[in-house]
Amino acid sequence: MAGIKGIVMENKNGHTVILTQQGEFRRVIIDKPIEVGELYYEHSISPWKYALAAVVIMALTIIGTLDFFSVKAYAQVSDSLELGVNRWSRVVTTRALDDQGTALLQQTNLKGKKIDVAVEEIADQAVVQGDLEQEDTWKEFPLQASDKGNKDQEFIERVEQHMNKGLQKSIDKRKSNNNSDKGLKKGQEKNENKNNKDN
Amino acid sequence: MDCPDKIQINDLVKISVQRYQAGEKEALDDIYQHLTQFCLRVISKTCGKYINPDDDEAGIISNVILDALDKYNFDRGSFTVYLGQAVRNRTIDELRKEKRRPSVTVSSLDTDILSSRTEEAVFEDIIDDIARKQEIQAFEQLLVPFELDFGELVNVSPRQSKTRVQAQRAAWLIAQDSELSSYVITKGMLPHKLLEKKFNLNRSILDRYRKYIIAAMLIHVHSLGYLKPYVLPVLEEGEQWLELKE
Repeated sequence: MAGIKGIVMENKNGHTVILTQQGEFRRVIIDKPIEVGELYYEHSISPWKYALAAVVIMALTIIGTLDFFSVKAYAQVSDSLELGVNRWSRVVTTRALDDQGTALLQQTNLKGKKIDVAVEEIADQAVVQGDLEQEDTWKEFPLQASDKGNKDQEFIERVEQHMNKGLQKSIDKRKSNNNSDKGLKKGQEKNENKNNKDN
Repeated sequence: MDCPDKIQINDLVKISVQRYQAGEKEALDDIYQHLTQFCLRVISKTCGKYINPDDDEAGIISNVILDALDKYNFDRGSFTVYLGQAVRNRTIDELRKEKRRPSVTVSSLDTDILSSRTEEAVFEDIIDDIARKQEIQAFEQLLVPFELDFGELVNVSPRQSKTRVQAQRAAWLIAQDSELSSYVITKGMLPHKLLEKKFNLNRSILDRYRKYIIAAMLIHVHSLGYLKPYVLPVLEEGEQWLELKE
């Protein structure tokens, strides 16, 4: 710890004047009892330590950023898309494998999203575009993860679980929508029948 | 200027204690002021707060001094160390006795004085602080005729090290020349033309930092030993004194 060293020349009403070793009269704030004539040491962090801390922070940021964007596994969705997944199961790269995949990518922004959310969005979008019927979901929407040469089978399995979870969410969502549509239609039909009887 | 340093204060205390114990009670008058200040600082450090002579904590001082003078013998080492220990112990006792502060324990008192540093070193530092304080008070008085005080010196102190060194050099050169220093002390001004001609000093520095130069010069002229090292010009690497003009 480098610091200012000096003699306390004056200490009045909380204002302290010191004479530094370099011969400069300087006003300082001292929060402990100190008397005229005492030596004063100000412990401050040296600029080198600040610089070192900045370098360390920068290095950690760069390493963290590189690590975030490095692909640990590839997730293939419906033979049309290949998603690069990082160690935190987030999508960092996307690649269309056919025209259908290109169209899907144009409609969605998957980068940075968790793989289950990404798969859910892709499945939702595929239904909207008419590429996928509810009945075909599992058959026409195969999900597969492959490693990037690191042979971390556990991670691959985890990614696949996330992907299946995302797809299941999408299916559940559609089922509940269909049920509510059916309920709505039934309600409408009942009302119509009632009206006819009344007439 | 007669400002005793640590060694002189210690010698004075030693001689006066000898005289006192030999029956010359008036010898105490010569050192009583020093001893009081010393005791105040020991109490301040023990309590961890600033203590004034009027504070309750300072009430023990006269008794402890007289007690220490009666019980002390030279086999015990330095008198100030002995007195310091007595003051510290008495202060701790008093604080413990106080019902208002029953929670005060030795460990909650100032750590510096009870830390690994030897008590002797701490008490020696206190004597040094006292000697330094006396010198600073003397310096403050020397500034009065020039309508200067420490607050003003903060404002006129050169911030850049190169400028400060040049101002310190000017002060040092003036102090070395009795004629020049007498001129400054009597007139309260700097002999600009002479300084420029004789020492090739920068006119703008002389103008702008006149008050700082006078203050630094007074420290040199009056040989204020504690402050002198702080205003001695130190040249940076590669920097050279300007040649004197013949």
